[in-house]
Amino acid sequence: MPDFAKRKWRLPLTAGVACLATAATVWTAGAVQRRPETAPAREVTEQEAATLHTAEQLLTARCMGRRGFSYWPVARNPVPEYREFPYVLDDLAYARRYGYGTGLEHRMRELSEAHPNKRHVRALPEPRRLAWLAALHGQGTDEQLRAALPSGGVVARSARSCTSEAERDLYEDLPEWYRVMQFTRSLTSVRRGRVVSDARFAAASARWSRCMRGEGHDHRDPAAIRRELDDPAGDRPSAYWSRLAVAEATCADRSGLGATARELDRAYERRLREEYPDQTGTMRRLRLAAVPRARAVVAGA
Amino acid sequence: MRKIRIVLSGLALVGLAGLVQPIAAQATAAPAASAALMADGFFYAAENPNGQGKYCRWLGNDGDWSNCSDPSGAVPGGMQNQASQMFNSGVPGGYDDVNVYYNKNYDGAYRCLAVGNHWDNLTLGWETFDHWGTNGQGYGKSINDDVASHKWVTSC
Repeated sequence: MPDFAKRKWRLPLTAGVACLATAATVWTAGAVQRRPETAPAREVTEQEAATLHTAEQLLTARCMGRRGFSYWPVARNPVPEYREFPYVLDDLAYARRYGYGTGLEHRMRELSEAHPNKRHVRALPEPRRLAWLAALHGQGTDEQLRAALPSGGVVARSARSCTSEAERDLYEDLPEWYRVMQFTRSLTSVRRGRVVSDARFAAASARWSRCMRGEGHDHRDPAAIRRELDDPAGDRPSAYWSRLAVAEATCADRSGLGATARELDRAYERRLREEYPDQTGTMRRLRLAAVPRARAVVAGA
Repeated sequence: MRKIRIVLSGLALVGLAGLVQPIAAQATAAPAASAALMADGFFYAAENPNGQGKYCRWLGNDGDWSNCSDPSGAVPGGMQNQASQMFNSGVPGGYDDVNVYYNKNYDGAYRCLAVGNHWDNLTLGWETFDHWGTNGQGYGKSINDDVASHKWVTSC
């Protein structure tokens, strides 16, 4: 009975929040922990995620077409071999083959420069270029979607943009989709921050650093290498980076830093899902529900 | 934005109410400046909330915001540690999201702004540097008046 009573009370509130101006969402996001209305939905598979991405892009292109503009879908992974290693390069085969992925990044940059959207927009006369971007991104004067984020702050986007229109077609409840999509995206940085601040990560990093010294490299943690990589004044030869990448991966394994980071990442992911059941549950539910619609969009393309 | 920062933090409620106002209303109040909310392929950073005040815009990366420009040329005083609004109006096709960094040369903690999105009022102090980056410097601090460089990245 209390459950029923709670539910009856919750539904009008949910509807009310959705109807109110979006600032209401800002106020209530922290205070009202709405729960997913059905049993927890599963995470979509990698293949389903790819279908969702393709459908988002196709729907964006259709919207742009309806507004009189050309748009070319953007690939989810233009260079499939490329991988990000947020904590430590922990794949020795990857390190041997691609080092820090600088060559793959170079390829991604070239593909980006040559992407038909970029070339097309560069070549448009200014009024047409502004109109293209206004169709895609909307205007500051439009109704705005807003999302309060777990790492703080409010991010916003036009609800009238073609990006928004495509996402409305696919996920149906656009304000809710935007709210949980931005929220869960921000949870990734929260999770990574917690992992690197964890004492177990620090202890494993110290072991990794000792191992690196044994390999002839003096780095406090893997982030120090990223800093060196990004240094615009850096002029190390590529052989140095190749050796360093292999040493980093070797030591990630030997010191246990790789395993510790993977384990902490999984543990904090679980914990954050429990801390934010509303946003993470709704995200899963909306994505899973959109898969059949996405398949239809891709099939009809 | 630095001078009135404390006042604005104290009036968080007023600022929040301001969030729901259409930006047009604010542009009407001060018609001079909301070019920084126009989508034209650039990444924008403006001195004041909602695209007001001086602003810089970029098509590429910039490792040092102490010098930057708007369409009419170099912006006096640049934008380092001064921006209170940002808008990513980039063109999708890879390298269309933007990381903004606590230090020059893409160093220290950062925060990512996905293509098509904007932060309208950083003076509230809510948006923090939420990625550890190269060394965690600035991690957890408000990004308001504290961004020194930016670069385009493949994803947020």
